[in-house]
Amino acid sequence: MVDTLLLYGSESGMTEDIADQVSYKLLHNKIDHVISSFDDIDIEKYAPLFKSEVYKNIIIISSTAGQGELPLNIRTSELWNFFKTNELNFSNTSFYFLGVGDSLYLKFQHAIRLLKLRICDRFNGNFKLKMEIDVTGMKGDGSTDQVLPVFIKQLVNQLSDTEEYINDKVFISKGILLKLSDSAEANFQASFNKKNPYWFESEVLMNNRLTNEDYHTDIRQVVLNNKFKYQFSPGDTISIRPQNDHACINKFFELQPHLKQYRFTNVLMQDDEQKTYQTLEDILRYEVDLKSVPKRNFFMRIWNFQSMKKQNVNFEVIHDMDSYKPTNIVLDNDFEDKEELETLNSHKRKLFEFGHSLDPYDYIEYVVQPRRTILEILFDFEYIKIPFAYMLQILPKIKERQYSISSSDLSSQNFEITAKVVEYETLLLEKRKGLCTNYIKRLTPGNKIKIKLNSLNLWDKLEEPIMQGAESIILIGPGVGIAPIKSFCDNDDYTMFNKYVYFGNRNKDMDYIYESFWENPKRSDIIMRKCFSRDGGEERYVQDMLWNDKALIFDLVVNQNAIVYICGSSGQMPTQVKLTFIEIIKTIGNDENAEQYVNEMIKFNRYIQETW
Amino acid sequence: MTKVLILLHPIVTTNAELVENTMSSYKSKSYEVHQYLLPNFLEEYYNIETTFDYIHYLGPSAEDSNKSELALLLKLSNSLLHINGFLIGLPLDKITKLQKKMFGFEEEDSNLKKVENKIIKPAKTQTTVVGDVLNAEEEKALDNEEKDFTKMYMVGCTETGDGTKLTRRRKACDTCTCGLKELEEQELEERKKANRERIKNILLLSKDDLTEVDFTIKGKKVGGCGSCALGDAFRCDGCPYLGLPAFKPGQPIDLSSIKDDFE
Repeated sequence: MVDTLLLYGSESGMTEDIADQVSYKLLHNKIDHVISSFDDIDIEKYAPLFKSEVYKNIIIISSTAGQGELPLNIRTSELWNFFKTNELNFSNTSFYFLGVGDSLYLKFQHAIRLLKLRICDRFNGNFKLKMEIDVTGMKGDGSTDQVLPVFIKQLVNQLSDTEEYINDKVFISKGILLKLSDSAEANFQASFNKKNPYWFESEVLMNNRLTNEDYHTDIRQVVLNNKFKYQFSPGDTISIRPQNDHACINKFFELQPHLKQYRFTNVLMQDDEQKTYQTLEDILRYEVDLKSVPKRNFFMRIWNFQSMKKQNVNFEVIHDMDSYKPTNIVLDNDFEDKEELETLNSHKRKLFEFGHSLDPYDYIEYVVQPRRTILEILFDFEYIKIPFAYMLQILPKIKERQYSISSSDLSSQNFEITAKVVEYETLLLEKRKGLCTNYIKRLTPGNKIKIKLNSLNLWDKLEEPIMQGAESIILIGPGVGIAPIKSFCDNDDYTMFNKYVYFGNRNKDMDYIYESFWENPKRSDIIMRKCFSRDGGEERYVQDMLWNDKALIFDLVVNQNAIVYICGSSGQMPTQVKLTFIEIIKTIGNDENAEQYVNEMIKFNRYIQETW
Repeated sequence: MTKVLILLHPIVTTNAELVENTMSSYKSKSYEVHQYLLPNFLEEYYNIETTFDYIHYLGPSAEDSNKSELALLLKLSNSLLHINGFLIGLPLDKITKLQKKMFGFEEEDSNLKKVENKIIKPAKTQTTVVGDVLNAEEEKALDNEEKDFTKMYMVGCTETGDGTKLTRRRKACDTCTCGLKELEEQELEERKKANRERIKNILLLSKDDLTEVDFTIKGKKVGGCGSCALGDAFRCDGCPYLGLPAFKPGQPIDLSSIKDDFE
């Protein structure tokens, strides 16, 4: 019986890929295990297993979201609820923790620490190891590439009872298998994941471009029907899972002609007990992220699936590690063309290095910096032949993206989202385009899509400052960050707040989005400050406006216990804004401990940052 | 039966008359009267199963009242009152509009009327509230842990987790304030521009023949390493074709996606 369990929580998918890398290494070290995200765990099946301590080793890998919170797929999971509401005994279970966070945020490792307290300490588990990755590499135990090999090494030392390492040339199959379905009547289910209780259908009611037509940036206002009349609040988000377009799927089959035969046939997707039917075309449309920039774990597997033109890929695959016996099979083909063989081998070496080498630089330079997509990599590395059966174990799946709701109950019951269509240049000739925002751009009224509503409970977070008497809120949202702020200003519950809004963008004529909403003379509870960086003028960015208003800001924050709420793109802006607040308090208040004051605000939810 | 809860702030225990009068005014109406001293009330809160029609607070004057204590009373009272029940005796000028809204009350006749259920009392069986966020004790414990993590690991970017040295230069962090990020971005912009110019020129030279751009033919311009055709993964730093996909002999370079750049 498998007695090792690997659980992960991930919001953007990055931590999921890290968990996958750990899983790969465990398998090759012959450590059999179950791997699952928190929300994929079927609690009916697993509750008795936890109660009878079936798992002797539990590995938990999690990112920290937002203000030091658990990622959404842990927070809303049955498993988490199970841990919170049951008394368990883990005195015979060893625990290993890996946290992933960004030290830009103060509480960037709180999730993994909370998980340790609630699952290990509370139930008397044996705590063995905790490491913390800081993606910037500055704090915690270091960056991903520094920490991961060390974490894996420690795990292997503790969990493995053999020195054996299954050669990386051997493909260990674990997860979803694709098979040709021989069943004449296939039940088509559009989505593989049966546990979709939170996703519901919504019709697109509107899709407007908010920025001037002549402007280089396209910001969309999209309204989605809320036919089930779900309640939502400012700060809540809508999840959308994009699809690949025809051009992309066609290109894939051009590059992988050996898969053309499966394109329109019924294909069975099998995982443990679950089975679903689709065509390969559908799988590529809904499930596989061909336009993504692959993580290292993609290369860890793909490198060996390469062969010369006319030949099939010869590889060794096992489904069960215990049955593995190292063999000396020579898998290489007839040496017809020595030169081509040399090229093939150099391709294999290159892709192997991208996945397995300790030094990530080559991978970063070839893949990350130019944002090179899987399709482009398949083009460059023409010998790759993705095996049909194991496709979904090798290719990453399309992940959902979240968009802040910008509407609210005072003017609309429907979900309005505000999204900037992502398009930018890198060293590659072809422009980079965001998969989801370009998918959103193509939507037209009448289209029906599946969405999910995420209740992020901003109201609950504000309870503490409101208890302390806060009556004012400073809302800072340059660019698309204005979306949740618009919801805030349009919501009945929040009408009591004195709202000070700070908005910035580039050109008043081009990208002053929702101008009519903000310039509405009837709104006396909102004081709005705006500036446009390319219009000339002394104030260019939101922090300039804050600085010029420093007397007011100081009074609000220090004397009136006001709340600060910042939204927008992460990067320079939130750092600059925080520094500005610190400077204001230092200057006006003559307070040397200004930075500490702001950090205290963050701790007590008086300074909230929603950046992405 | 109309139920009343009287909450006594310790300071009014010295004023026996006030307490007596309040109690008898309710008892004379045959109301069922419950009474708690504040500290006991906070301890017993989770055990109270009754809901009341009135909660009457006897406490210090407005000036001497503690705002957050009052807010807490507001919060707890919501789950102990019926809808349209009244919370009497709180100095109203010490309560903000937001607090009233947050905890489900509206002002009526100088008192607070409950208009909405806001807080759900946790189930009686849970003695400790196990939540999604750290409680105060845990936060404190983590604070002490936090101090250990503020030290920067000077192992930094020049070593891998195994201790072997990395060979390339340091990349700027996302939140760079030292200027390295600006420098990198500038360099990148310049490289991008130069790259696109270079590629444009190469392609423009064969503009009429765009469908047959075959770089594997001998004599075409190649870079120092000779691996141009293999794609960016194998090209050297000085390669003129950096940014272009790999070359397939006889296969035209697909320029459809960037055609507008050349118009």
